[in-house]
Formats: sequence, C-alpha cells, structure tokens
Amino acid sequence: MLEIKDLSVKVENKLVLDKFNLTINDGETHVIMGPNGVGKSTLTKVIMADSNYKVINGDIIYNGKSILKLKTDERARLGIFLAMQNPLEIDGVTNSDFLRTALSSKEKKNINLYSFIKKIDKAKEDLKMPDEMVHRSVNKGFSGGEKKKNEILQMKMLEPEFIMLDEIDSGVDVDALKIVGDNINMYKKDHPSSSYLIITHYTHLLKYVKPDLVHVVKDGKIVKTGDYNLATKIENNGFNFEKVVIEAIDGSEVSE
Amino acid sequence: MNRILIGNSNNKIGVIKQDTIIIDIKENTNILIKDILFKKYLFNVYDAKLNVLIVNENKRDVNYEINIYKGNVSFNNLSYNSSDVKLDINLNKENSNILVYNSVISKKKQKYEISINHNKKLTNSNIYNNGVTKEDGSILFNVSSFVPKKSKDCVVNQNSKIITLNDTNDNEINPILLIDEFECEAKHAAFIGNFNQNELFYLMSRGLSKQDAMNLLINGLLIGTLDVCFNEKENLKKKLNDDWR
Ligand SMILES: Nc1ncnc2c1ncn2[C@@H]1O[C@H](COP(=O)(O)OP(=O)(O)O)[C@@H](O)[C@H]1O
Ligand SMILES: [Mg+2]
Repeated sequence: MLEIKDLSVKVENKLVLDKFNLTINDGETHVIMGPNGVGKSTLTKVIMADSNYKVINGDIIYNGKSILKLKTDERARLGIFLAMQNPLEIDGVTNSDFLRTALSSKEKKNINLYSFIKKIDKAKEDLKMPDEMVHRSVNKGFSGGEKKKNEILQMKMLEPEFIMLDEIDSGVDVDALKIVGDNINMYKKDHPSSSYLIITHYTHLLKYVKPDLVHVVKDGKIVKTGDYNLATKIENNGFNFEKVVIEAIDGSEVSE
Repeated sequence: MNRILIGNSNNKIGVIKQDTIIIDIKENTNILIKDILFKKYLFNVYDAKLNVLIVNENKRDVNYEINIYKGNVSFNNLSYNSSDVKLDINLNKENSNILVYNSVISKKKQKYEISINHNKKLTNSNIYNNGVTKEDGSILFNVSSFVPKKSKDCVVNQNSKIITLNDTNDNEINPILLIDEFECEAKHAAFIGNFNQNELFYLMSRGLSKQDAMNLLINGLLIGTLDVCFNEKENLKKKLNDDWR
C-alpha cells in the first residue's frame, strides 16, 4: 500500500525526518510511538502534502507509484486520509456542505442527496453524535472528543484505504474512545484491505485496534520495531518516556 | 413583491418625501428586503425582536438608521457589488442590543460607514463585517462605536475581516472605539489578507480542489455566518454559486 523510502523532510529549515523508511502492506496496522517533537505528525503531514513540510530526499510510493508530485487533494482522492491531531474549526462552513463537496470531488459527480443523508445519518448514529451536528460549522464549539469523532465520521463518509490517525485518542474520554475504537474496527472489517498508521502515546486504543507492528521514532527515524508488547512497555513507563525510548533503542530491559 | 413583512397590525410603515421609509416595529418581526427602493430605511424598534435580511445588488447609495428603544435587533446585510452603505445605530434604552452581520462581495470600490451609539447603560453591540474583494474591488470598513460616560455595563464588539482575492492594496478597516465609560467591555479585531493556509489544507485533505475549498470558505464567511434561517442560507448560497461568482 505505502512505501516510504529514505525520506528526509525539512520544516522551517530544520531537518525533522532523516532518511526515514517504512513499508505498510495492504491490510496492515502500524503504530508509531515516540516523545513529543520527534516528527510523528510531520510524517503524516508530508504524506498528505502539507506545503509547510519540504521533502529534500527520498520518495513516497503509494500503490506502486510515486505520489511526491501530487497535491494534497489529489492524494486524498487516491484514498489517503489523515485524521489530524488538532482538527480545525471552520466558522460558517457546515459539516454537511463540507462532506457533500468532498464526496462529489471524490466521485467526480454531484452525489445524490438522499443517499448522502442516509450515509451521514448512519455514521452519526454509529458514533453517537448529536443530530444537529450536520448543519453546524465544522468542529465549531465541539469538545475535544467530538472533534476526534468528527474525524472518524469523515473517514466513514469518504471511505479511504490508507488511514493515518494522529493522536486520535488524546483529549477523548473513556466512553468516546470506546466508540472511536469500535468504529475503526467496524471500518476495518468492512474494508479488509485498508491499512492504518496510528500515532499514539498509549495502548488504550490498541486494545480495540490490534496493531501488526509498533515502531519507535527518535531523531528523525525509526529506532525500534516490535509488536504490541513494545507499546505496553512504553506505556508502563510513560512517566519516564525518554528513558524507555533510549532503553528500547539500546535493547536493554525496561525496568517495570 | 420585493418586501415581505411578517408581524401584525401593531407595526407601522410610512413613507416620507419619496426617499425615506420609516418602519416602526412593536412586535417580533422578520423583514426581508430584496431590492433597495429608497434612499433611507429608518427602523424604530420598541421592546421587540427584529430580524432583518437585506440582499443588496443595487447601484445607489443607501442609508440605514436603526433606533432601538429596548429589544434585540439582528441586522443582516449581504451586498453584491453594491454602492456605498451607511448604517447608524442608536441604542436608546437599557437592554437594547444590536447584532450586525455585514457581508460584502466587492468587484468595485465600496465604502461602509457604520456607527453605533450606546446612549444608555446595559446596551450591547456586536458588529461583524466580512468582505471578499475580486477583480477591481476594494472595501473600506469604517466602524465607530461611542460609549459616553454613565453608559455603564455595555458590551462593544467589532470584528472585521476582508479576504483579498485580487491584488488590491486599497482594502482598509478603521475600527474606532470612543469610550468614556470605564465600566464596560470593549474589543475589536481586524484582518485583511488571504484565507488561512491551514483551513485550506484541512479542506483539501478531504479531496476538495483548491477552488472548491475557497468557494466553500467564501460561502461560509459571507453566508454561513449570517443570523438567518437554514432555508434562507441555502437560497443565498445557491445565488452566490450561480449568479455571483
Ligand atoms: N508547521 C511547523 N512550523 C514550524 N515547525 C514545525 C511545524 N511542524 C512541526 N514543526 C517542528 O518539527 C518538529 C516535529 O514536530 P511534530 O512532527 O509535530 O512532532 P510530534 O508529532 O512527534 O510531536 C518539532 O520540533 C516542531 O516544533
Ligand atoms: Mg504530533
């Protein structure tokens, strides 16, 4: 599905990713962990072609083709989706207008209003979101949890195949996290070849969505790859995150 | 018919000197004005709620005066390439509140003079100007709020934004706050520039082309913000997409 090759990325003239490599196959779920500021969000932004992030080396291959020259919207229409760490509020633009335009762009024709309403009603119900949210401004006045649910709602509406979830679990209470987790699982079941890149500091979400591989990022590259147990180790020592990461790199045992 | 008045017989309309229309509002009322037929529109509101929507595509200058003797007025103006507009608001009794949404699409030079007089204590004004300039358009928003001494506990809020889609340097916002009373809350914000890059990125990351994303943001800025009902907004959005591009 996605292959990142020797990718180096600069933000404001600072090297954030340094010859980063990662391959995610169809149907796989990968997790990225690592301290704040190491470039986790940068990775997702550069995959989504945010112009603040400059690729200075390497390539991003999506389903066998380089996407480096494609713009944000073109990549999105290929099926790449980013649930953002901090979803923006857009005053005056309703969720309904936003998603109708997005779906029409993706399907290259005006979408049928009736089937749109049916689809959004179902998604809203699955996520236990209030009815009136459809006609409210995008994320305006939404709580942290509602904003994250809204990202998942957009995913369900647009049906992408490569999905990046950047700290979808932060700022979300236990009940909302269960709903988010259940919905991702439901989506996975309905879209068996969809792949995931999940960025998190905790294992809460991973209890619902089982990862195939867990990577630790430091100094602009992956320094350690393991399975679910690596995530548990990191979480258990969350109060001493830096130490755990360093120990993980060294391969020495983490004290419990 | 260009004007629709919902309300009842307690409201009064009069015309003087052919060019001024006086509208006395004594009951909760919605007014839709789709064609500017007079030089001056004078609204007197007596202890009532009034919601006005004006859709102005006219080439003649117009002056609105709103006098509130207690009550809440929501004044929505959507101008498409119209001529200059003057809006005077007088808050003449306690608990007189005005909310203005002034949305402008400009393809030629346009001027808006807005003044708000807080003549009594416990009065609120919230003024939102949102403009977009294209082709030969430029916008001047002059907004003046006056709070004399003894008009305690007033809320004064001005917020103006102009999105420059052409290469004009003439867009201008002049927020003037003349406040002689310390015990009141006043703030203003002004922005001239382009759409926020992060907003465009967010919309485009869902597959919208840059043009579609900008159109959505223009709709949102000019129509989404208005204090009018859902159906009215849908009509205006359609008009903006079909006729006003
Ligand atoms: N838009 C930006 N402008 C300036 N610096 C940025 C921007 N985005 C990220 N950075 C910098 O790049 C580094 C990596 O940030 P980020 O990818 O957000 O880290 P993480 O998600 O791992 O916490 C940080 O030093 C951050 O300050
Ligand atoms: Mg981050």
